[in-house]
Amino acid sequence: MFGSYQFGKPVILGSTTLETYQDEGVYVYHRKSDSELKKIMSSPLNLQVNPVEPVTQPEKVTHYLLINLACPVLVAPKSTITLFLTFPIEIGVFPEPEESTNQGFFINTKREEEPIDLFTLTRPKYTLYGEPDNGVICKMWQSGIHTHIPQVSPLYEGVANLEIENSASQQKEIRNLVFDVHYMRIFYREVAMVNAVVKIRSNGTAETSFLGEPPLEGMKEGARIFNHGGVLVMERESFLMEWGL
Amino acid sequence: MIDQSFSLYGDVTLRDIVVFLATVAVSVVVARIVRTNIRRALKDKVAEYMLSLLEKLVYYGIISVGIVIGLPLLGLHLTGLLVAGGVAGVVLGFASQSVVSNLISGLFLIIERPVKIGDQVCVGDISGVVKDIRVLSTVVRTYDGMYVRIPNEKVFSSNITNYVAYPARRFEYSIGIGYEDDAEEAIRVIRKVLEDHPFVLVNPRPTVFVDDLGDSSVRLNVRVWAPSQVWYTVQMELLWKMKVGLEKAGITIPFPQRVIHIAGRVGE
Repeated sequence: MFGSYQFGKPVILGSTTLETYQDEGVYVYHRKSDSELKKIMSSPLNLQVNPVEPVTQPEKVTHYLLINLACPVLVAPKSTITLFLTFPIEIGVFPEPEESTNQGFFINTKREEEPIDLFTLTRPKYTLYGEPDNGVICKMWQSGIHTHIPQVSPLYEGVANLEIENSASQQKEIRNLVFDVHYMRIFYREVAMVNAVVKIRSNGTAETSFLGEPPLEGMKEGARIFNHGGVLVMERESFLMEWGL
Repeated sequence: MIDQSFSLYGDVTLRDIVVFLATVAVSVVVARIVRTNIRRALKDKVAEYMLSLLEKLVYYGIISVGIVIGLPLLGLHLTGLLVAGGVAGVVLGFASQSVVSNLISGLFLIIERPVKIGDQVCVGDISGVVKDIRVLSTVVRTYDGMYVRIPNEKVFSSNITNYVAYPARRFEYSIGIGYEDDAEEAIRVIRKVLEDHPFVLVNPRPTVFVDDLGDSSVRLNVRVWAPSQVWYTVQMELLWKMKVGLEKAGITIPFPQRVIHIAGRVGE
């Protein structure tokens, strides 16, 4: 499953197998699945396999994820509820990072690495949130609603621990939730999990964001595709749902 | 040996000119280093059009500062320049009307942003991808790989169609099936093909309906929304998939046909 793998050790992920081997003097990374992928490596790399932000497949066209709730949720005025949803899993294969790298004055504890491979076992589907002239393209996922951590197939689904806070004085109904996955922090052990917050406002909009803490103890944070690398990006770390909930 | 204290005009010596040129040269070198580093640092983090604008602002900003610092060495002081600049501006304005017009249009294009670097556009009769928006001109690479430089004045005064300004766009197909085929089954097959494609948007939802009872076929209209970034690829992929799907379901896509009735001879 997710974790680190020595060079030469095959990784079996459902119907997909990842292999690293030496062939005629070169090192090879080989993904065996419906869509095969082979890459030549200059050295025998150990692999780190972990869930990544689920918007890269089949092509990166957005950084928003829309979770469509199988059943609308009614949130009472001035109240907070905690629910568990699922989100789609995309898998990233990275070279296993070194502990730390010393770059002059700066010590970088987490190296930025390009992924060797990105793929998903789910069937991606996209939608538009908002109007064609001002909305955003989102990866779409339909989720059931759970009051406890649900049993999921870890290669297909992760679990979102969601806190919904309704600060309005009216009851609000939620059918869709849109998140900016630029700021998605995925943690994993056997299952991938995220902590997310939704703040409903009185004007019918809602602010969604991810938290940086692991939902369960002992979880490890995976390498990210959207790594800001300390550069100041003039964007909000949350997404404002202004075209309906 | 050159006498550096030799006065060229007023109090300006050869040494002053050398120092001025050195100041400008240093500012150009610094500007280039800063521009290169900005590109390296922000390449994957900032949109291309913003990065290009930022690079230009920083590059020309640093060079301008170098020139302004060096100008007093040539005996040119900013207060004097402001007065002289007003008069010179009018003269230059008349002398270089088209250059100024392109420059102003370029500024308006940068402010109004009807197109950005990387956008797929049609300006007048030129279609392609915007590669650069410069001070005087806009560079477009046409779809067949030609370099086209369009003066900003022309861009500004032309009809501009930006194919990717909005996040999603719609395209449609007209597909003919035989009169003897089941149109409802054909619609079901096409809907399945659309559902299976990741970039056929769920919302706005695609529509498939019988549009026309034509001469040779029943015409189905298929309307699909896709992300603007990939719409052309989606459009190309879908047509063949629908054709294969319809054929697999035993639905025919007929050739144009005409039924001819031959009248019998008189007396037969």
